[in-house]
Amino acid sequence: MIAGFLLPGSFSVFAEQTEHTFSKVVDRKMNYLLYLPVAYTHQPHADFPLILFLHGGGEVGSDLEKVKKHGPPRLIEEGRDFPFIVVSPQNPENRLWKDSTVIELLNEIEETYRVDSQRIYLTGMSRGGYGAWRMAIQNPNRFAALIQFVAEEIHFMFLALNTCRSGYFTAQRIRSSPSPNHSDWLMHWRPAVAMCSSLSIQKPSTIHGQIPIIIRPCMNGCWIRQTRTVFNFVARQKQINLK
Amino acid sequence: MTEHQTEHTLSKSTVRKLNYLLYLPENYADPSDAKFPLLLFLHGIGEGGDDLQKVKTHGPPKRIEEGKAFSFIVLSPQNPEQKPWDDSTVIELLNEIIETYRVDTQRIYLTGMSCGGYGAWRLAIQHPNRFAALIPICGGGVPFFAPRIKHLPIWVFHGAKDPVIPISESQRLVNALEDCGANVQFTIYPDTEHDSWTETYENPAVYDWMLAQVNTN
Repeated sequence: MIAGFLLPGSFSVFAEQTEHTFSKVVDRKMNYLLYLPVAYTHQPHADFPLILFLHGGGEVGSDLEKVKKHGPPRLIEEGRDFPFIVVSPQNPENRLWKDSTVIELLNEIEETYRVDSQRIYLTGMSRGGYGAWRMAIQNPNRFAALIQFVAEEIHFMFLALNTCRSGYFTAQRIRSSPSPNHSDWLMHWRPAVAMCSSLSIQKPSTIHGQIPIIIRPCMNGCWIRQTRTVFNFVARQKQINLK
Repeated sequence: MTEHQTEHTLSKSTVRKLNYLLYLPENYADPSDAKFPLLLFLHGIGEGGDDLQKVKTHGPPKRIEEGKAFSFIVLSPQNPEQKPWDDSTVIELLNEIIETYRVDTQRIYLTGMSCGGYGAWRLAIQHPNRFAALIPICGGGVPFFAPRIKHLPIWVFHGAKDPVIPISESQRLVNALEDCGANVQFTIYPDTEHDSWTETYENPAVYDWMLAQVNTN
């Protein structure tokens, strides 16, 4: 064996596993659209609810105009007033959302603006729908509600090991007329919920709270059609646990 | 007139940290420029935290602890939290290991069990040209993305009686992969519950198969 085979951080012993720590400074960048309600300037001491909107696979890149194609940013562009702050980040890459960067953005928005931290809502469509599921489940005490439209399915693992075992899951599924290709989605949803109920019975000590969830299987444009439903739903929700 | 939405950019530096176990084969010390294959192992939800000893509970790190000599590098990071893996930090770690050690980048293999099985599927789907083979054990993922890894040699394992993660979680990914003509094998242990990893990681045929796969992308 060669003497003094120094490797970063520690002496490495061959044919044995050794302990190390990886540490790196990472620069995170994310463009976003920000909407502040008209009342934000008129009521300088009030805190405002916030909706975080995650777009789908088609709106990725560096051109923020694309983010205005769907969902709340589109409604705002059309002249709609909302009584809450809307944050619409743009996924810079054509891949899954980087969850931790989105959470960093949310942290910064909360530090900078008057956000009612008990009323932060999360929504997403298509790829952003997957992202919203992941983020809600990884940060179960952060959001007052999850609003899901174009989610093809629920990520079973997340449900079973986190959301449901902890009793967060009180889905409010509103029946609409799902298009045929969403039958798969419904098929996965039912056993997931059944599984969750049994897990939550086994683990009563880990019950923290609940994230109310609105789930509506429908295609693009649903945010526009369902705005009233969303408003009513959001108005009823308040975060149970402070983070 | 409504105050419209305005454009902004988040720009922030953060520190990412990940503890890991590293195994170098005995002949890594031989004076040569030889490069070595690497196996990246993602543990399950129970081994998360800051005590690296926990990572030795299952899988390749356990085999090494028992004295098994592998012919390849084994990288076993520890998820600092008991939640799904942070994929991009794992990739950052892999990048650093490749820069630091003599890794044969055409022979980087990815495996994981349970929550780490989900992580392995996700990592492969997001970096489809990075790995030479994928061995996900009692995990699952989103079948919609299967076409992204249809070129990748994949060997999936699951216990038919798994009460924690139902076998359908692997089955629907295997189905989606078969639908797009992928190179996928599926081993079902008919009487096994959640622990389908012990038998898999003790099976020499798994490592033989793995080492025969070369990434030509």
